Amino acid sequence: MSRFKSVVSPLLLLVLWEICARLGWIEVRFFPAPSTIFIRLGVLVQTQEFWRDLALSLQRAGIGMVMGGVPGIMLGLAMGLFKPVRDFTQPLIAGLYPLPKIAILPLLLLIFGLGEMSKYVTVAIGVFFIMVINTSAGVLSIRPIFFDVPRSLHASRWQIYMTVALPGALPGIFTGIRLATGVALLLLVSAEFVGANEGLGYRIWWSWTVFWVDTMYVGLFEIALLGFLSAYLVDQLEKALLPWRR
Amino acid sequence: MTDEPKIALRDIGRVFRVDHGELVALRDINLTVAEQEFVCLVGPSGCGKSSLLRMLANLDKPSSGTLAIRQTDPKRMLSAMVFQEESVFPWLSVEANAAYALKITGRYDRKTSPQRVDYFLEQTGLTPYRRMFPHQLSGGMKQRLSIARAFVPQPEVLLMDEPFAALDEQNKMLLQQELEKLWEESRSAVVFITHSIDEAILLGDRVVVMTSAPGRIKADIPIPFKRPRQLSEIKATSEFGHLYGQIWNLLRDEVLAARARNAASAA
Repeated sequence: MSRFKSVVSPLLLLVLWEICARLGWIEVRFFPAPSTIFIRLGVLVQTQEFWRDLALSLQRAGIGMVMGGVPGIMLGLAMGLFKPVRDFTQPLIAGLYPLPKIAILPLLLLIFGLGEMSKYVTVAIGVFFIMVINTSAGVLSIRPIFFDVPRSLHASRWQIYMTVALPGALPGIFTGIRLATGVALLLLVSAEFVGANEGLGYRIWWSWTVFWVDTMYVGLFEIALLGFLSAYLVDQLEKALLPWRR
Repeated sequence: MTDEPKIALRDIGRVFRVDHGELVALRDINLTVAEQEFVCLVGPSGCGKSSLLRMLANLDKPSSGTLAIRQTDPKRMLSAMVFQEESVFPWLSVEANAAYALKITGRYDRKTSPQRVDYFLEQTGLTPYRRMFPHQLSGGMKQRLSIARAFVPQPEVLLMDEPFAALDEQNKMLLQQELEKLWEESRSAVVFITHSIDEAILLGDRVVVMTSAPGRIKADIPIPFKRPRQLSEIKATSEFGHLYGQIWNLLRDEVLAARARNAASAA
């Protein structure tokens, strides 16, 4: 039932859009009817280009997420556990986090060139900050009593980290991953707009410049679907790994 | 068995730094607990009894004096604590929580440990819930689980900080009875903090009364009732009334003294 509910609102939007397009209430040259877009999708999925763009973008987003996520989680754990680390890094994180990552894209292109690395790094930077912030918040939200239990049993620091800090921070880490998948797509598409000649973002921008509006909408639809699927995947992963959450 | 005490506290003092100067929480604490002895600590709020227990549990250090727990069997775990606050790990199942102390101290044995865990889950009535997670349990069940967690490793010393304070009256009475039974079998030395005089008399071999801050030891009262005890039975005796009155008079003076001091400092 709840699975059914989760598709009601997108479906309703599509139906409404279709009606408006058919009745001529919206300019179909810029806002083609969903049925037109799906027909175009049906054509495109038969091309190699479609799948290469998709695979390449997924690869870029995936590698970027790992590149930013792993160090982000590690720094976040260190910040949550050790006050000196927190005092030292907090001002930097607070200052740099709100900077729009897109604004430094020219710099990243200058440093890392037009190749794959500049895409990975763009995604990684955005993911890094989100993971640092959510992981350290996750550690800090652990009630102090949970650290007292192993200490009262004369456990080593390492055991305390592994049996209390890490599992206690996992809900925060998952919140981070959930936000990070969205941000990774966002940043990747933006990066591909400017400095790529393959990939989802590039395809969207290119279709617009040559006025292949239907193809552009297929790209937008793909991104929406990826966002939906990644959120679903993270939810399932969380349910499997953290069965103790309400 | 020797006459040497299990726990020996000598001239313990604890001073906390506060905004303007220092706060003396404990002063001149001298206390011994024998092997297999159950000692209840009562005292007004803020008298430092929790600080004392935290020192015994390796969670705090005295500012002065010496504190020693004599280990008789190096293979056995020295001490385990039952906290007042909810302290079972939400990310571990009921049985994993019960086995936690054994696992983390490297004492978990694939052959014998599961039986020990089973036994104490059975004793605390948690066997049907063993695969569940704490958020599926009631408050009373969670506290039973933290008692099981402390008993499973059979520590030489059990430290309990008002373990039943957050529970309703009926659950509290049942758990007191169950705790006494479990302790009769294991006979660890116990230091048990409580606000309830009934509970102290029911469980303790001795009831130690502390003064209001700075905490000192005011009286040390032996409880003569034979075990196993039933609260309803011992309550009917005149001796119970006498002990209750004695402890309450000692405590009341301290609570009133604390109140007067607070009023003076507020004025």
